[in-house]
Amino acid sequence: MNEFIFSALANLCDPLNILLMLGGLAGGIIIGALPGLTATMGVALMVPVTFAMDATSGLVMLGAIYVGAIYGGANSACLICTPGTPSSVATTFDGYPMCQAGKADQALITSLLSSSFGGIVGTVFLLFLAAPLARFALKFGGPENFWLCLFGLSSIAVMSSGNMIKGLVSGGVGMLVATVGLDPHSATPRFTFDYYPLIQGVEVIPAMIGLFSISQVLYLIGSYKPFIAEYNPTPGVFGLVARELLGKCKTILLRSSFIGTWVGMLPGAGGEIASIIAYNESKRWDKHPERYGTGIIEGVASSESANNAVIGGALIPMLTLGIPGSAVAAVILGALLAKGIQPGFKVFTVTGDLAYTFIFSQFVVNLLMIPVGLLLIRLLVRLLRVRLTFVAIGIVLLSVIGSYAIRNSMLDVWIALLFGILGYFCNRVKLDTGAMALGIILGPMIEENFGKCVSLSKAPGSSIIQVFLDSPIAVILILLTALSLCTPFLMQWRRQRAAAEAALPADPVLKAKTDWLKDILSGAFVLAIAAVFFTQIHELEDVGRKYALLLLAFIGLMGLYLCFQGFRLRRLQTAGKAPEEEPVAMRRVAIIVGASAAYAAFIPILGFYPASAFFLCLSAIVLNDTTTSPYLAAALLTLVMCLAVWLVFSMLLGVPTPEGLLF
Amino acid sequence: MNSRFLTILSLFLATALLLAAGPARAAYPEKPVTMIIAFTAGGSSDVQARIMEKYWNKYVPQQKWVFVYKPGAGGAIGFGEIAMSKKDGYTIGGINVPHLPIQAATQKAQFTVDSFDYICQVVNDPQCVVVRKDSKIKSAKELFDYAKANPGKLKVGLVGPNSGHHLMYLDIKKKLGFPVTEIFYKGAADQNAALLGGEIDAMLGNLNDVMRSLEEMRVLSIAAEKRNDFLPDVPTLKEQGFNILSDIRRAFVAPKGIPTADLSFLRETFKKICLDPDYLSDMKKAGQPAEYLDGAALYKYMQSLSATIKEAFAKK
Repeated sequence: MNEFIFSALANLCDPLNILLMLGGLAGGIIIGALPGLTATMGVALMVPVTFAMDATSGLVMLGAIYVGAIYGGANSACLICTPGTPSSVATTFDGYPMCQAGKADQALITSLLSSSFGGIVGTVFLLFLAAPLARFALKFGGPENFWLCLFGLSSIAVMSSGNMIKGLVSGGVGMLVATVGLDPHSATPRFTFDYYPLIQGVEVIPAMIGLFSISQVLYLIGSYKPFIAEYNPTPGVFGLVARELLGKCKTILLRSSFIGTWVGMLPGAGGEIASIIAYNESKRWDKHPERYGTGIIEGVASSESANNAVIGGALIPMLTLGIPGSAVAAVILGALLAKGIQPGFKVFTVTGDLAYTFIFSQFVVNLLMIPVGLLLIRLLVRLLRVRLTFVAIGIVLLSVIGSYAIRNSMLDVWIALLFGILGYFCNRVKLDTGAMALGIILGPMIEENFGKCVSLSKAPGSSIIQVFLDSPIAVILILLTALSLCTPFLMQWRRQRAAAEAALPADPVLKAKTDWLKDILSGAFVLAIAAVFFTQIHELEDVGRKYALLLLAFIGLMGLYLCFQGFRLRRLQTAGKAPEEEPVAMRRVAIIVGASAAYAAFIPILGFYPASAFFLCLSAIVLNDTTTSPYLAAALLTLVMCLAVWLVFSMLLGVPTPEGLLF
Repeated sequence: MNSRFLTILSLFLATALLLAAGPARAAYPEKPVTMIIAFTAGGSSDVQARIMEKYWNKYVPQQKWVFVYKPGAGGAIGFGEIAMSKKDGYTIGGINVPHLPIQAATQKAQFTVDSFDYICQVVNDPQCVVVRKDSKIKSAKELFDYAKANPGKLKVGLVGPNSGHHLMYLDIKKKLGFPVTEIFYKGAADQNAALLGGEIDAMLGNLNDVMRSLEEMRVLSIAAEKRNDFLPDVPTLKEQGFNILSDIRRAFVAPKGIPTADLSFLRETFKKICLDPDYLSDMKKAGQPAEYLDGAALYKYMQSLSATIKEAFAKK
């Protein structure tokens, strides 16, 4: 290693490489911050560009984009409650409440510093422990991955404590929706409802764009607020946040970064799981877990340090074994192979110059990210000064192009819109969209690994129980899952004891007047979904059928329970001091839903840019909520958005936009 | 006056002649050609097509390729997109074999092998029989013997189901009897990890994928007609008396029924590219086992493969 240090550092001082790192970071942060453009896509789009560079510079640039994009997702998560990449779902839990409390700058700087910290921890592991960690990652086979996914899923219980049934059934619905497409065991289509394109399945990203961005648009449009949130810049905010992080968040940062590195190493599991596990572990071990979700920097710090630590972790098996630890690492591996570089433990000796330059560049990139990020944060908080209606309309445009760009498929745009409406409905009836997203992400992995375990158990002298329980790692994961499932009960017990000590009446449960209706509606909703899927069940066979039936039975039972609970609540309900509901402008919500659907329908006819211009302009005029004339503002919004999208997507990134018949 | 009239007349005639000859002379391609890739940007198929693009620009500098990625359902979405695109010669795409004929045979796919005009084959990536470096098994024969002596004991990893790996596995089973426990993986990365981690004892894997983790693996044999330049020491299955041939191929196609002249232009240009020594050295650097096969021969191969597939998967 020592012989490469100086040449690697010299490589990094090359002005071209510094420029590539800065450009990659800035581009990555913007890609990450835009809902719909993910880190995977950002890196993949730049791979052809690296063909014209030498291998080292190309790799350094791709690494910088990766780091920037994973961090960038936090910005939209905090500001508009829309995770820019799947990795920052958990960042919304506390980041958005912070923003609403007027502390947007604190949330953003917490994300920035935690990301940088997590990234550096991950890189330290990559530099010093790559070989042993790669060996450890290989121990994760079918059973271990199965239990890991269940452990991730069990976090729903912690996430939605107090509302566990709804959390669990939401997770189940997510898992069910994720079964649309090709059956992994028989490779035959299932739940496609005789519509062939559905064979490509429900892709995670459009579903998440719907569940988070579009449902958030509907919420914002329906609220009577003029701006997303008040924003009061805190003087000396950088020093304040840095002190808090180094003070009370030391343990959280370290633990989350370890979790991130570890999850990153495993093929298949990436940032989206790491950040949720880290968030829940922070919540579980906190003295006051109920503070999580109300807007505290610990929550943001856990999620953001974990997802950036994933990067170092994911690169470990990629460089040493040729096995990528995440989807982005897989793309980078492709770029390496195209350059004729063989991964393997020899990568640190035979091509040591390249390997160490790359690893050191990761340190530099994570440090450079702080000034670059600070600069961009200054621009991004201005978003809070834009009228909410305009922000919401703009998000629809970005969501449409983002979901289209993933597979260049209009079907994905419709999926995003559908999930947007579903997500909005779920939020209204208090079903958990976060749990649903987790179900969509983890469902296919659980099913796949379950299938592997069943196959493994067919070997002579083996049984299904033995396969599932054979390794110590599996047993540890089972124990962790059990602990995780008990957590909500422990938390409740602790709360009750605290209440008893303070001689207070135990938790006076205040039920809103319409709570019983929400329970019945959510119960009916999940029952309806289960029924729709049940009509197709006859097409399935074998493991796929059993898995789907199990999910349907679970959802059905929970749905019935929710309906039952609703009716019971209705009887018990007493008039009196019920908390008031936030008023909702349903007419405005209906308008934006209709406008978005018309927009999607007109894209294939008019082409992307004309349809977008019409949509932006007309919705801005119709939804205008100020007393002044809307025409100038609408024209300005149309011009600025179209121009910005054209510059960023068409010119800079070369993302294809949908073509219409006319244009 | 006379001369002026003549000048005008000749100019007029020349223009008319140019206009008449125009469509014939301003030959295909007169606008950019759309290249549909059925896998994600930056993937193996994309990398190969990007190398092709470099040499297309050398031979046809006037018109570029516009890449369109239509990934999903193991390529089936993109293949369907090619089959259903306009037959004007301006949309072509990359396909993978045997993915395409298997999908045509086993799913309600939107295409058959007859939905395409075949331009040429560019890659032949043979399947390998692989074990871990520390395995006791040293040759393909030992592997097959061990499997027969201990039915079900050997765990073999495949990418699939209904894939090229699966097809080869069914072929081995039919010809040699191969009583093993089969485990399917979603992709080569998972499969490689499982072999290195000891979850499986052996696997069938593509040369290109195996090359990534070569340090940790022992390639027992290769299911090709002749040895491969990337692994010259690895014997073929045929050499050892096992009549098993299996590979994954990449090819370029157009939707069936594009103008004959355009198809022959594409076929000729692709042939020039595939025989270019610089192209071949780029391919070798990228770990892509190049093998050219012309359109007609490829179509013939597709038809016979299609029949084999229907038989193999019907019996399964």
